[in-house]
Amino acid sequence: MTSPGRAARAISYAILIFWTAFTLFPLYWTTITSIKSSQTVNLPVPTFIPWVQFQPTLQPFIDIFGEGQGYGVNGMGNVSLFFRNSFSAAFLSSLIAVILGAMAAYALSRFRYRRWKNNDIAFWFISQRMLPPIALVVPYFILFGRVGLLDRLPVLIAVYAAMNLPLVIWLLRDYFQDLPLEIEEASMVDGSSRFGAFFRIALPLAIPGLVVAFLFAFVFAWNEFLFGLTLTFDHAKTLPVQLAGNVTLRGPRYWDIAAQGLVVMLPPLFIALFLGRYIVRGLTLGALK
Amino acid sequence: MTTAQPAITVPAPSTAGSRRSLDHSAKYIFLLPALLYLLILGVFPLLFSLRLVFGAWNAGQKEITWVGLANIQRLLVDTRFWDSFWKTLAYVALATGLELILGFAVALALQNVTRGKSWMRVAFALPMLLPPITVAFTWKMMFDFNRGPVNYFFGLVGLPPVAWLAGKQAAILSLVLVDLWQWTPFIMLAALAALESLPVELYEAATVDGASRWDILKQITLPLIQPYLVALVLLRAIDAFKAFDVIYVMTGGGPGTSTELLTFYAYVAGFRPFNMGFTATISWAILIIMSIVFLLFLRAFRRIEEP
Repeated sequence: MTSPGRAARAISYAILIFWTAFTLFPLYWTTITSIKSSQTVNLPVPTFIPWVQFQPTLQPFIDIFGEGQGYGVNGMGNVSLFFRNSFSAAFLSSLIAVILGAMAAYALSRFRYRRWKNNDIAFWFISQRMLPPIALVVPYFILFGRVGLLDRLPVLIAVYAAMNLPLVIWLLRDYFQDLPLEIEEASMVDGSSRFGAFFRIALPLAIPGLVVAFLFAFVFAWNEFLFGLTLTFDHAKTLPVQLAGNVTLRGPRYWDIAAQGLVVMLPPLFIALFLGRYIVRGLTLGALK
Repeated sequence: MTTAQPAITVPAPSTAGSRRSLDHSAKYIFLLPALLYLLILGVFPLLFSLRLVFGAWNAGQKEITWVGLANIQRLLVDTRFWDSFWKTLAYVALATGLELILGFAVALALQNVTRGKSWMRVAFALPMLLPPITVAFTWKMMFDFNRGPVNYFFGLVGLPPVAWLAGKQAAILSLVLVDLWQWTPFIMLAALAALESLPVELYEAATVDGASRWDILKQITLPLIQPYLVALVLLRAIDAFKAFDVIYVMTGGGPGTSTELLTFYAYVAGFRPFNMGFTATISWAILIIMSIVFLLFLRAFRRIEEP
């Protein structure tokens, strides 16, 4: 690209400074609200700078991990339990999605299917990702309800794995396609079976891709709300569902909401920092490399 | 396959044959688990919900009762549905349109600078991976009428406070703004990646020929990048149609029914009066609309993959 003139560069920096502030300020606001006391939050004029404008406190975090002490009927519930639910659901579903997805992705990148072309199969998978989740909510609710599986973590794990499988296949298909074929072929000439070539050679080489796919799946499962809302009520409830309950149960106790929100936000935030430039590639289904 | 390989370079025909047959079954063994998994948890429930379009089901009921076309007839004359339908179209068009313009503008800005570019890329991408529920609460706090910073900043520059979530139009615009915050980076960073993949030679040639920056943008950059932008906008539109979480937390569909977009209305119609047949019917309407957008996306996507 031609080097931009001075004016163009100045305008560019102005735009970027604005967007940086726009992106980061809401996150900053949630962070400082989570260390405010109820009195500070309810002041008529908002405060922005801890230690200068208000005295920070860890009380909101003590509240939310205090197993609902002090809130009576409308208690916070057991945030630690919901955290464990969210984590198990996200972790195990991503594991299933990556195992099934790696196999299918390997198949699509190594074999040729004649009746349906490889691309058609791949697009069928991705069309599953585009389905509006609401279309699955009702049948899931009725079908799982019939067999008494509502409010059970395994159901959420199974559903999240299905939700993430298409994306995992799509990402890993690209990854396997870029791996060199020679080592696998050499191992098969040496008498290894296709399965041996997959498990001993292709899979270890694909570990970076598997990690990225796993992290994406983890974040989407961790963030998921609609299935959690309709398929769990109590024992299997996840963090986003618990957090959303704050609307209906109590008035806006922003300090507690912010603390809970931060707890829910932190794992995806760290994963986002780790994924860095992979984020765009993952979200655009690898259309842009 | 367990027998030792003979020490010759060309494998014996029998070995090659058995390997081919094993490979032949491997072809299916690798693919089938994922395929079956999605058939059971994706296609089968969808067909089941198609059955519900012609039925009624209430909590505690064992079987679905057949009601024929009643749900569809009701949908066609349901003003709340059509109201929701048009609002959803407006929301999707406004959000994706603004995201396209803003995203492309910021992408061009990012391309113009060198310092701070790599960390800005990561910072701008952050909102996309955050849980929508927490995004919604964050903005609910920002928009708070009395205690929120947005109205405070408005006051600083002499603007009157706005009832962001309580006004009919303001509430929809607030939802659009939250979508902009979370998803403009999608267009922005993808467009930047596409911009960076364009051949440098073209630009050099154009500059030598004395083309202005504006000409270069209009004559070279935009035509080259347009197929990407179309695919990105359609992908974004598909996701915008699914808007639910942010509405649930920020407005609950209100004030009145003014922010009841399609997915939210489908949920409300099914889980509040517990009319699952009607929800299934709305869901199928959404499914059909989105399939059309998806087919458009596929065409755009294939144009990028196989130019």
